[in-house]
Amino acid sequence: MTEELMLAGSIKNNAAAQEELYTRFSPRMLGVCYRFAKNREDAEDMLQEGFIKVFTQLHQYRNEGSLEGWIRRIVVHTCINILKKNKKFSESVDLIHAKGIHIKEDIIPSIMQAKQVVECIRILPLGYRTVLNLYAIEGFSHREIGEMLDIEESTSRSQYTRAKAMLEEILVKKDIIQKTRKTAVGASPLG
Amino acid sequence: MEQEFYKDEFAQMLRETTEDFKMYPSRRVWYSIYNNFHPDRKWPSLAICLLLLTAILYIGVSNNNHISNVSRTTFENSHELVSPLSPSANIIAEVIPMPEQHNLRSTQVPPAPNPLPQPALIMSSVKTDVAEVNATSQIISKNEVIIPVLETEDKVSIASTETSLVSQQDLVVTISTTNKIGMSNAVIAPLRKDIKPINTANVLGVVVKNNETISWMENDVFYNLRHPGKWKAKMSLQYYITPSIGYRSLYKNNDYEPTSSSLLLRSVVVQNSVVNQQGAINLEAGFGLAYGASKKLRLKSGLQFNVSNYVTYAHELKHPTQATVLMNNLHDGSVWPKTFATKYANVLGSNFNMLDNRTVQLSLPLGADYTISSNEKLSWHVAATAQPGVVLTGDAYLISSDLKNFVEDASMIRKFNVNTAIESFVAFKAGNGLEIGLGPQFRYQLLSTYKKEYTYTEKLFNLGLKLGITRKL
Repeated sequence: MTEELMLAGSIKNNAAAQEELYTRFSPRMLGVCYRFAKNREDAEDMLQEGFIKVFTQLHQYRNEGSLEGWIRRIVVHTCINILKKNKKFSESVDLIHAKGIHIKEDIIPSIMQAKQVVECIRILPLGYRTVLNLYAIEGFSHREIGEMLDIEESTSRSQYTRAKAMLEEILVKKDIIQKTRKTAVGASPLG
Repeated sequence: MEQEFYKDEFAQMLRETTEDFKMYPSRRVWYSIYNNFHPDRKWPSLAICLLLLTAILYIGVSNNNHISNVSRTTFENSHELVSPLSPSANIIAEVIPMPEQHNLRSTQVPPAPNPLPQPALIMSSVKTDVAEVNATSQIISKNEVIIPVLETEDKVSIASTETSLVSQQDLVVTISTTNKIGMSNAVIAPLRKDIKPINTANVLGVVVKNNETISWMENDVFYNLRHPGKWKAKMSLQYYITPSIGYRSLYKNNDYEPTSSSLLLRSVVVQNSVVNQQGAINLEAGFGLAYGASKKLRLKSGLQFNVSNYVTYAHELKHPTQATVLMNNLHDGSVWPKTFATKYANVLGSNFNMLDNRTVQLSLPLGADYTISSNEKLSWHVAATAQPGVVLTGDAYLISSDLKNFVEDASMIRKFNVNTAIESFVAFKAGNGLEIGLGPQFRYQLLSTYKKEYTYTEKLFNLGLKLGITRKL
């Protein structure tokens, strides 16, 4: 099924077209949700709500940019909205709360390298990983993140800096990146 | 500048690494989305769910005794065979070094005091001594039933250990279970003095060296695969009791005005204010099975017993008087008079009586509860049930057409009725799969207490406090 047919069918509430669209994009979108969520089940809940919004708003898609990018943006916003409903979330994006967080080495998962980064991101405290996900991976600016999370732009910036430092520490411990920071990425086996 | 460069590079590295990161959602997600956009097609699946629930309920009830017996037997046998150092009697895997000759008829092992009625303990065996474990260890999965290799005078069942087999998945499941109960670094004590203990960590080490197993474990950890549990793991047994205060609402359901003046009709709009009535203590008790359909949703059904009551005040006359009650003609919507002799007057005299309008019902509640939030100890739920049921017995005092008398006529009580209840409760997790819940409940009777023939409709409602105990099967 071509993307045009799939889109047209989905807008007309055609179940087959909707399933095709879901099947095509859900694995990657679940990967996005998983980075934000506490566990897989929460990620699936986010995915479900995200796709309901996608199908509801699909008629607004104007073929500007890729369909996947459009879906991804909706899914990310859905994740953030769900996270914001949690009272602990607003506390966790607060800088004061974030001070003094220490990651125990024994909770770092020992799994395959390609997947390890995602799992390491998920180890980060909620506020850290949300900002890091939004800024580093989803490409939002600190200003946009501030608006999304109802925090100051400077808070987002600081959160990211700390999240990055913590993640770096974890990745070094797992030998994913090397200790020499300035050349670390170039030498990274992920590169 | 360098720092900024690194920061960008770091973000880029993360983006590139996670760009193609995929996970495959369970079908449940798609079904939920599908149902959201195609609600008209929900019914087949709902019907199947209902059918499944009924079947599970039937199996659960019929097997309940059997399950209890098996559990008891398992516990007793485990108690005999598992080391007292074991933190839990639920441990179902043991590692036992076997003699090199694989002698299945070891005479050093004393006979078990009681023959095992069923292969309740699942054991793993490791050939040769500890040093050779790395090469030839064999661990038997939970799914493979191994009976202790003993020859005894009691003729304990004997099975071969030669064919011990490990599938990767089973192997990991075994380890996972061990880790869950905190045994990863523990030494499982020997079952008998002549059997040397093996540090399970060594055995686990063997497993870890297996690349394929590592791969599987990594995938498992990564995808957080939910291990499909047996239905029993999702079932729980509930007992509950709900004391409540019961009220009623009463209104006329036929405004047909007959021309005959002999009926002494009076226009009645709000009947509740005309009758002196009072709420009374009601009671609900029942038990049922709950099925965990998802992390937050439990479907439940069972058997429930209700005693509903409210009190009307009436003056007891010294001599019976004639009273007329209007009945609906179900064919043309008209009414017809039915005459009774009664000694209850709808006035508050000196010799007043409290008339108990009591019904006793047996019902089959079907419902669900949803977990709004939970932590380790407490959880907050909302629940709703529909309760079709049969009225076993009852007393009914009907108001006469002139509103001056009450007439006792239990035959006017509807035999089948449907109630619905909504409730919210906080459950306390007491451990050992036991939950104690407490919360308010509102119960409403959907159909009138009386048959359609009677010109008044009565709806009962209760406000109560439900106390429930839930125990996992």
